[in-house]
Amino acid sequence: MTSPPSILPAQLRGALTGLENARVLVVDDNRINRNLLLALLERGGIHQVEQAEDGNDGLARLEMFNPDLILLDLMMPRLDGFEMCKQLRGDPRWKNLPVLVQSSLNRAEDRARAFAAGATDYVTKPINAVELLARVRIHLHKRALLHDLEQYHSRAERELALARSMQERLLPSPARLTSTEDSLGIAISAHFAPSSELGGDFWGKRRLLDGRLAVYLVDFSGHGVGAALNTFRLHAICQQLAAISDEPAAFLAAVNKRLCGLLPSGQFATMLAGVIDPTAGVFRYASAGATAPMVWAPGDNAPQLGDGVGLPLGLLASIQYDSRSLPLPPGGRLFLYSDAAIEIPLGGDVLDEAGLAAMVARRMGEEDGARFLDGLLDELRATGPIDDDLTALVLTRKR
Amino acid sequence: MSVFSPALSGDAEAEARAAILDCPILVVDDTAFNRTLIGAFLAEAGFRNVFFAKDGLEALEKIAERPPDLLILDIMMPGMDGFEVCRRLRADPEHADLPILVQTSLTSSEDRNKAFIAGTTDLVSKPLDRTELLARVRIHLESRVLIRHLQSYRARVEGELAIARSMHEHLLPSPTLCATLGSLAGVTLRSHTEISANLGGDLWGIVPLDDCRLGVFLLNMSGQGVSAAMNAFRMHTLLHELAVDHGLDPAAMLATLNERAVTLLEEGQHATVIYGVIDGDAGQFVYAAADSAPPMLLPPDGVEPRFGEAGGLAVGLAPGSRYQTETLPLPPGAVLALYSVAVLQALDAGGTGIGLGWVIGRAVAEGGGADGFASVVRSLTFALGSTSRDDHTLVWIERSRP
Repeated sequence: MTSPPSILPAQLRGALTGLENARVLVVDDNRINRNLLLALLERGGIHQVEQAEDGNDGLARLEMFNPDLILLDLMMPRLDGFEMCKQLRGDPRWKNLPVLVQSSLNRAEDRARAFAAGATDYVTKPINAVELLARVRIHLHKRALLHDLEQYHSRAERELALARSMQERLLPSPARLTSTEDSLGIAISAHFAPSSELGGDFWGKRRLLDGRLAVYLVDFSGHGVGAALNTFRLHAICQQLAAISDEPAAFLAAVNKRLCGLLPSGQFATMLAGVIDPTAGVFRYASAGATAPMVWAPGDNAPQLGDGVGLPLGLLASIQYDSRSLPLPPGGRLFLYSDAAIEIPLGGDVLDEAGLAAMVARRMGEEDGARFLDGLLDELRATGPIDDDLTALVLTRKR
Repeated sequence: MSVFSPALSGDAEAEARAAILDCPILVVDDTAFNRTLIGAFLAEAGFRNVFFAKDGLEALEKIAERPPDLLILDIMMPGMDGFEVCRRLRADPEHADLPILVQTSLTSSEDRNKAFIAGTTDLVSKPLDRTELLARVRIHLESRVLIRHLQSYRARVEGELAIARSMHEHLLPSPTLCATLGSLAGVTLRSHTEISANLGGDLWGIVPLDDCRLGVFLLNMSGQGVSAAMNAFRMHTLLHELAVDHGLDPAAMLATLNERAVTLLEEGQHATVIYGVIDGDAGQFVYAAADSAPPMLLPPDGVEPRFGEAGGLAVGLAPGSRYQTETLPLPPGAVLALYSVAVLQALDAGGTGIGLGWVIGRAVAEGGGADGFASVVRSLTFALGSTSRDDHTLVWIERSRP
């Protein structure tokens, strides 16, 4: 074995700083080898080193010491390096632990066998100090980077999952949809799919007096966490305004006024608010730049498109909205959707409202709302990539 | 390091294993036979994206054109040798992380050292062994793909959080708003807010009430990160909505907020809140607290800070919670401080008598104003350190002297 060089190359000295917290387990049956490796690691700035004298000892110390890297000899009594490596890889905790084999075995088949057993790297004895430290450094740096990234990943994933479940709870629960169907005779099928963990889409419904049902669908600009924050405040606003106005145009104007005070410039939302009035057989609505609502009655061969034109929310506080209506007789169906459904790339163009209406027309025979929606969504997904938050609602008046 | 990290899900790893087959690999060797041999090994193993260069210069050109995910590099080549290729690549930050697998028949340790010092990631010895070569290629590509996957996830999430954080900042009263509304109530409002890069649930705000009165609130959501921020945003919206009817009655304000919070928040989520009315004419601060840090009043001489009561139940815990209206006098020159608990803890030098009260008191005694506030913020920043991940807020309300 060559003795460790008295002075390490400057490049390596610099690269080794920052590794002073690294923990290395040296497994070798030869005490002199262990001491040499220890001295070498020490010189490289790695001071937390544990020793083991065979594979069994190594596996036992693994538990206690929790190393960042193992320097592993192959030929050892009792449990050899091949077997120790194989055993530790069987434990998910050590699946990614760098195992650097140092061995005097140098035949291609020995190396192949070591890699097959799960070794990360292989150096041959006599040990070359510079090479060994360079490899140790590369593995430790990569492990530190991965560790850091994995921690970020798991923390962010946990947080976003929690936020996501909160966002889902803003929406009407299946139990509430069933109760609406039972009491008002209006069945609702809903689909909500943010493009990442969180989204800027939001919808809600509310029972009014006289068997009427208010419904709204909102789509905030942007997506992700920022857009989701807006859905939370809009939810609070809608709850607060619930008592104030049943009339869609007035409701939209009131929501708009509040959002204008809250949204930073550059952010806005489109919204459609409406009321299903079974007695009058109409859907009265107002739109702030939302997509055109679609309605159809049994026997129709194409949906009737409403008018979604209107200034989006959050841009101009004084704006008033028009009140519009569509027929919705018994058995009639109302379809609302966010603009992701009409912005799916199609050839050089996008699937527009006409394209979506044609798709709907082909499926209008489907009596079950949930099956209608599932089929339509499958067809939309098959059309092209949907890279925005997608919400779709089907409301059916029972006969 | 050394803290045990749970492995990523099996899915991510299986994905990484499949994805490496599409990674571009550049093979650099001056011998046509070696290029063919390595190409055949890689193709047989399923790698679909292998390209070749026959010397150092051509390698650098091809890398500039199309950066590979792995370089398999020969050392002894005419013209520019492998050492030089390594050195040049490592000098370019864009290629600092590129795994370079050097194939070499060099057995002298001096040359192996030279290769590592030039920036080699790994050595494989000639004659090449198929199994070993493929094992090295897989291990480097898998970790590269995994790291890239995690890095792009992090970049996306950080981007989303940055937007959300700027929205959070936008919710806080601007200096202009503070000046306009403060002057109506005869006070100067100053504030210091630190929002965590991962978001959080600290928020304060002001609500215009009438010609001489101003509502102020400070709230801290339980929990942390994105979900705390979401709740803080809706509490903010609710406070502004409720102020229309209850703004002048702090106890009713919190009781109503609590009823809303109980239905909106999930189990285990709650908020500590203080809401109060600054009355310039009457010279007092009338408030109600829901388990918030106690408001601190410094008389004009800065001596003996007085803490107000702050005993109510946190908002969102239980329906029907009632809150007490309290009053603190606010004479000209006095300073009222509202703050998050983190501020109090940061400046608590246990038992020495030095704490937030002492720090603010000294600043008030020295004349208060913008300089006084700035010195308090300096102490606070010092005490919390630049690495604190906790959100914190300090609001300083100074009654103008006649």
